[in-house]
Amino acid sequence: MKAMVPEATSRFPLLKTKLGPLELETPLIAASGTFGYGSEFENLTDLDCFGAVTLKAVSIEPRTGNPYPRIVETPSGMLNCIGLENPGIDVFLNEILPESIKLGVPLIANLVGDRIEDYVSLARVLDEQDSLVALEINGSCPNVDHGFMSFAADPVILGELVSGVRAATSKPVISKLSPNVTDIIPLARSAVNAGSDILNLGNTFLGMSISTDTWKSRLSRDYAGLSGRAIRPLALRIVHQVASSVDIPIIGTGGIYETADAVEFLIAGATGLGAGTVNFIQPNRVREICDGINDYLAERNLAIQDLIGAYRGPAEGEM
Amino acid sequence: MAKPVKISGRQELAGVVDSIDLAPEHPGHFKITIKSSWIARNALPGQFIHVLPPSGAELLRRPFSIMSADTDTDEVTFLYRVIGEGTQLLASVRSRDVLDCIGPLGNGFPVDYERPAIIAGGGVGIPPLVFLASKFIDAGYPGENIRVFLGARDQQTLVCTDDLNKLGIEPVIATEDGSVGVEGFVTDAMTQSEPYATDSIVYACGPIPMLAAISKWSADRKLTCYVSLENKLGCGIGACLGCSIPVREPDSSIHYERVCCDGPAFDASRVAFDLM
Ligand SMILES: Cc1cc2nc3c(=O)[nH]c(=O)nc-3n(C[C@H](O)[C@H](O)[C@H](O)COP(=O)(O)O)c2cc1C
Ligand code: FES
Repeated sequence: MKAMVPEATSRFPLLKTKLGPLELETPLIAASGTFGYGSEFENLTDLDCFGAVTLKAVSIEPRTGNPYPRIVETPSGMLNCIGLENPGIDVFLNEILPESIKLGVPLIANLVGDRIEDYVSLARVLDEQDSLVALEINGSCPNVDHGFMSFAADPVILGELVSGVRAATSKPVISKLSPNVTDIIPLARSAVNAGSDILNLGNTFLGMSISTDTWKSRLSRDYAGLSGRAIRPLALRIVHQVASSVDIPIIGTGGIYETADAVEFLIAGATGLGAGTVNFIQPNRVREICDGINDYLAERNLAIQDLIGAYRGPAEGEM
Repeated sequence: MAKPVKISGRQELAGVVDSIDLAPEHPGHFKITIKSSWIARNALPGQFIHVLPPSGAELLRRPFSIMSADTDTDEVTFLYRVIGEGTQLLASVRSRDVLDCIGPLGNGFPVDYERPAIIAGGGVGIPPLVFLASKFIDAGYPGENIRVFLGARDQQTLVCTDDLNKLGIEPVIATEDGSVGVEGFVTDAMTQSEPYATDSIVYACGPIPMLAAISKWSADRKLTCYVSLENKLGCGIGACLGCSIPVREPDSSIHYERVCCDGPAFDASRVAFDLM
């Protein structure tokens, strides 16, 4: 189950990261759907600051996505209802992946489907792609066979989904969970028991925005996914909760905008760091964050492992 | 269906040459000139720059159509109206500040300098049309042959008429309150100025309802029409699929194309305005 990581000269020697079977040059991972297929950012940043780039979600059939309008900015973040638009697995394999491979950065595929079988077939086909270092299950999709409830909302169904994908690939499997549940711990445990190597915590929070002129949603859906700085404390709390209850590595994702945010997630128990919305604001920022973590560690004479999960608990009347 | 695009834009930390408050004639409107040789030398009419609102607010970037790009001075100008937090912050910019811009981005108008041009628009859609008109002048068109129509709610939102006059162009104006020019919409002014050569091309930029009307006006007359669309952008480079608008193919199937990189200029006959 050794992951394929392209040979690279180590630009950030202190940042080498091991997410179970997945070895990365840095903990920073571009979050799916926010980084296109990687090549869009080629002229705007050094891609070698990314331990890996997660590509836009791929499904078996093409998806046209949701109607207009799809995004709106909200305080310290944004809502999106893209609707997982993608050209389907055939175009992905024949036209898109060959271009992304040329970037020379490790790639992760993000799998979406209507039913468990869709994910399993995708995993089987993608397993043959040497350029992919891991497969990420996007559990936030509505499950057609179960009243369109999200796969990541029911521990039993999530378990079946993860074991299906697990059996179909020898690559590291990342389960990306939805935060839109009452208690995420049973879901995280279920993904772990089903053989997930890594958890990604997580996806966007459902939110809403209403126009006071039209009294309609500002988007083409009632609810949409909130991302960006606004969700950081929420995502951080979830990472900490889950890190104390499971023993597989976690990718912390949600509102990482700067070095201190990244360090916070590491302390809370994340090993990998997903960066999404920040790339829209500042395509260079992930490089700055890598430099920043590097300096933080160097100044304190620490290894990155010293930070992971090193949370010291509540403040005790310190003024 | 959305495929990755190679963008030609670069990130530039561009010095602000000046920022002009266009009040009292145009309250809430500002014109900013920045210096960037990369953007000035590569900009085409209809393209935009994606500007980070200053002072570390970490807002999303805001797209602004390019109004002029001078390859001698490397100066690039854009004009905007304050509508929210981002443009409010931009209004505080002073000369010698630095603006973080990515550009030029998007596909500009597919200009045909051999065919007569009907240029129409309104609001902050006017500035890119000034850039377009200047390219026609550069290509040797006499100003009086370029027919420009501007629509506005009132005089205060009717920007750039001076800039057009400087190019030797006398725009035909329609205002909804009748305070300047024809009373009514830009398409009313366009109808009043008929006829046009049958091979004319309509180039339009402005708010979506106006573009829908210009698109219909052009289709009724079997004129080719290109519209440059404004939309909220996430990434500005084709990566997030947040800016997509509905496009109708000849077989009436609908799919979505990205304003930021498949546009902002689109063949108007393809845009499904009824779904926007
Ligand atoms: C425009 C947009 C599109 C997204 N598309 C996907 C997707 O296709 N698959 C997925 O698993 N997550 C998707 N996400 C969620 C992100 O990968 C990430 O989990 C989320 O945005 C939180 O991180 P952030 O606050 O750093 O953006 C998308 C997010 C945004 C903003
Ligand atoms: S703004 Fe992201 S694809 Fe157009």
